[in-house]
Amino acid sequence: MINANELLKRYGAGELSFCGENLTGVNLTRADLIGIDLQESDLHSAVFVLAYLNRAKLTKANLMATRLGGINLSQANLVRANLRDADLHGAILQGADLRSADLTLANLLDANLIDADLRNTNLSGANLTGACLRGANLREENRKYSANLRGATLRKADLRGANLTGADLARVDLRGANLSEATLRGADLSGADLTEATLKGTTLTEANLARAVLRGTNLMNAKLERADLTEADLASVNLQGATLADAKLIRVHLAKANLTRARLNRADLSRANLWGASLRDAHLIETYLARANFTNADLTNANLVRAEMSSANLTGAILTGATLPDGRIQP
Amino acid sequence: MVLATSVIPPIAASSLLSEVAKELASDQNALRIKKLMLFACTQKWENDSHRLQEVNLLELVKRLLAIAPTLEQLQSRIHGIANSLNKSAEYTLIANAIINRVSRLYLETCPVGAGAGAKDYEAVAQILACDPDHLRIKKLLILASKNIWETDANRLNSLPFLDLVQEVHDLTPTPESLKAVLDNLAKTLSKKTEYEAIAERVCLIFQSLYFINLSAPALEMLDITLTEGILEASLGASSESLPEPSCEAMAQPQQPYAYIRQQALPDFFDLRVSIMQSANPMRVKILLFTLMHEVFTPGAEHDSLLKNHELDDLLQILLQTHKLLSDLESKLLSAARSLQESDEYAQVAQVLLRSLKPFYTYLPLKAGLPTSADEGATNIVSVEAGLPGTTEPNSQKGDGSPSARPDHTCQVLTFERAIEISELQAGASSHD
Repeated sequence: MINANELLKRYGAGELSFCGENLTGVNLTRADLIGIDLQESDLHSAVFVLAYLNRAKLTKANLMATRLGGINLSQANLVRANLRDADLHGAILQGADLRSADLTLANLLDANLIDADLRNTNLSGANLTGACLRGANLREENRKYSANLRGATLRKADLRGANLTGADLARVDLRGANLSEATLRGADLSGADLTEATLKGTTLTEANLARAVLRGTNLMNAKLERADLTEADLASVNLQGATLADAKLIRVHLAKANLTRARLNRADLSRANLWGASLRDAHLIETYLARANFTNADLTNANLVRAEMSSANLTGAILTGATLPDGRIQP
Repeated sequence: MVLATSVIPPIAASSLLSEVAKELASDQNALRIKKLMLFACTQKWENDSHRLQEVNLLELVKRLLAIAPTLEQLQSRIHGIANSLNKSAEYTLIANAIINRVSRLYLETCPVGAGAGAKDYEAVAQILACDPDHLRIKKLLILASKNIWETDANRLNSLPFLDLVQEVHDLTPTPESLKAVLDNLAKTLSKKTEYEAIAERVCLIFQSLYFINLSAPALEMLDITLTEGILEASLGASSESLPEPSCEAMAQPQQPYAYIRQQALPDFFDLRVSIMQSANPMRVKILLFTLMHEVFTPGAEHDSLLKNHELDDLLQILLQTHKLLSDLESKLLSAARSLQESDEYAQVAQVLLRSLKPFYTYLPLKAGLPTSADEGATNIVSVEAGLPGTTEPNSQKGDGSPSARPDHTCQVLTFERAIEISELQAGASSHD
């Protein structure tokens, strides 16, 4: 076991490799250790607050319960590192390789994870509030190799352009997060809270959004083909120009939602609540609308060709110019 | 402070005009000069060298004179542009070259630095000469005024501080422009951190040239606080000793400008990314925490407090509570100074200022506002963009008693005055 002074002395003398060393509890606050090789070393409970470990090699290192607030780990290699319970508040992990790392319950509040590689990373229960994950890669490689964000907090996180294909985001707190242009194809967002989030142009094809909360969310031009939105709360949501073809919208709450020009062809909207929703110019061809509630909804110029709406509630709905299931145009 | 207010003669002698244009054309940096002048006139950045060559410098000079009827406007406009460019250090020198030459075309009703007399220059030169870093200060001043990096000890010694002080002061009409010039130059040097600290010190010492009515005791106080590093207190105190502006100063047409925050708040996601790309998020938070609450001291208590503050909340509050960029700047730099590793935090402050500057607009002082001598020192007024009914605050001048001022402890003098004006305006419009 070596101590902080010895490590700094040897590093200062040009030594870079400290693989497999026991450095538990070492305090290296603000230390400059750029490019250090600490692969497989034991750094349990060590302190690296505001230290510089840019491009450090930390593969398989044990960083459990470490204090890494404000650390610079840009472009560091943290493949399969153990960062359970680590404090990474305001840390810089830009371009870091965190594949298969364990970040369970880690605190990444306001951390910089721009362009980080987070494939197969375990982030369950982690706090990513305000974190910037722009362009980060959390893509699923195969069913067994996908990022796990179960129970994580991603409130106000910046996930613009991030790749979250197949990621496990079940019950994640994404309130106020920005997921514009992100890819969430086939991602599990069941029960997730996306209140006030921004998902402009986001790809959610085949995503599972069952029971998710999307109140006031901006989903303009989002792609939701074949997505499962069963019982999701989409009150007052903006789905202008969004694609929801073949989506499952059973018992979905879409009161006051803006679905202008949305494409809902063949979607299942049975028992959906569309009270006061705007569906002007929307495409509802072959939709299944059993017991759907369109009270006071605006369906001006909507296309309802071959839609099954025999049991739909259309009290007070505006259908001017709409194409009805039999092809007639409502005067 | 009486700012040099120079008025363009109705018809600048055409021979002088073409002479100035010729001088600019023969400058070794003629292309960059053209680029900068073209941008000042057209807001377009031209990179095509053919098109640049076609541009008539004489026409550009004429247009520039039309756009900037006073030398101060020319200076603040050209320095403002140079400061906003990627290569701000290089363009600061270009800006100086332009101002040096074009300034001849302004009929000086009151020469630059007229307020500052020989005595003021001597006092400043003396303080600088006694500074332990006087050689580095000299190097920086020579670089600013002559664009030469002088390292020869003999030549350095042979150049008197007095001339350098005067030259640099002539080039920079406001403390802001002085700061911009020196900071930009410091950034290009290998010992950047040291020179940034020196630049800051020089700015502080030069303050007396901009606040020319500062009494001798006040100057002494400034000197004392320099060693103690408490700038704000001294400036705040000295504001009491500033006399009312002279009639002469009032009569001169001035168009002070200030960077005033826009009404619309920015996209905080974009802002956060731009800050995170160039600064450590933790340090940003520590700096903002220090600015808003108390000096951050590492330890469990402040660590957990910091975790209760999210970066974008801090940024939002920062923007909401700072209507003037100059105020934001002084607060950030002061917070940086109060922290350990102040150099690191000064860099963070610069990143924040760069990222937040686009949300401030350079606006002219609306007509009718008091152009008092002291506020002219930094060309700052506190007029919230779109403030309804800019009434005649002249009629209420003098109403802003010191006790009515908000209780800010780290204010620069000019901001205090600006607050007063802003309050007067708010008061005036609410009575309407």
